[in-house]
Amino acid sequence: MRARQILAAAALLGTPALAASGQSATALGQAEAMIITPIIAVSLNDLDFGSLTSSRTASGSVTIGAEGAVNYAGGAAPACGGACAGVVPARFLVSGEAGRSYTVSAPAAITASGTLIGGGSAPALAIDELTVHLESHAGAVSSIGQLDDKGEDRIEVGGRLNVPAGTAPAHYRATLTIMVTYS
Amino acid sequence: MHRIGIASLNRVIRWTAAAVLGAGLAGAASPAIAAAPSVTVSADQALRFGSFFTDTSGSRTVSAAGAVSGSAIVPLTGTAPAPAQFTFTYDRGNNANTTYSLLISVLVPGAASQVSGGVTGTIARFDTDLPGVSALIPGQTAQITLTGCQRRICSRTFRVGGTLQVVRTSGGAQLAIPLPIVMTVLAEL
Repeated sequence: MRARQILAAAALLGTPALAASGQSATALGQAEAMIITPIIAVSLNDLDFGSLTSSRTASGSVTIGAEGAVNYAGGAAPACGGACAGVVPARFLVSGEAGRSYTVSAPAAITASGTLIGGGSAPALAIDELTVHLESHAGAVSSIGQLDDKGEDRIEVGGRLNVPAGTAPAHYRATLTIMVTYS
Repeated sequence: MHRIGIASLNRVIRWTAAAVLGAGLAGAASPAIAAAPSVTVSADQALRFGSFFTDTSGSRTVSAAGAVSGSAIVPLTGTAPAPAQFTFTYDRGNNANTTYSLLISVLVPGAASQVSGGVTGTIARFDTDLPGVSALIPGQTAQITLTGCQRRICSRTFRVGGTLQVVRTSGGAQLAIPLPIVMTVLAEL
């Protein structure tokens, strides 16, 4: 009797399921992405060594610190006597996504090409010891910055202009390129 | 002691068998109380394209398998890209112990697009690891067959990837594009 009951139960359990067509369900998923504002650096002012005089016999240099300190050495001296106005480091405004950190890279040295006052090209002058100062990171850190809550930061770049003895009066110009990237 | 142990065990087995048989007969004798088949789909995880920037336009692809690639974008640190994950569950309504398959239609309705400020994001094509479907195009129905279902509940977790096309005229944006998935059981095979 018990065996018959078991067989009957097994037979009923084996019955095909009810048709199920038309059963439908929806899930609401989501696709997410954070599109970041590109980071850019805009020049606010140039690295300006101002007007200076050079010695006929002694080489010299003028150094502008990234934070603005100016120092004349050797045969180089300010043409205006004391401290000349407008001798400043280069300044850049960096803008991008608020709160993001970024890396700045700048060359260690560049070359200034000159045009003699009387016309014609002058020998090139070397600008070296380029130093970078980030407003967001005072002190030793000079390559990684952080954009503030407005998505901005400021970069200053100083350097040393080397003036050989007997440099002829000329106008000098160099291109300083920095690159900023999100880190 | 040994004999007493065996006797007790036999009694337990007999009682258990009787209880199971009783339940089986009760269910089999009343087919009207079997539940109607039902389908549920749950969204377990969002499709994440992560953080990146593009100058004017670019795209990023996250495959259903999790592979990530991009065109004209710069990936940035942030949320790790990952495919979406959904779970489809079919309850056939009874405990019949047979192997069956399900013919299912899958639809991503409407356009998967969002405009946020100067950024437009569009997903024109999804891919999935559902069997037999290589692409899910918004607005177009795809059909799949889920095989190997055996119990009352047949459940399958699957992943959905896609390609996000971004056009940027200004600024950035945090995109959250709705990704509805409609699954319909067309037939139980």
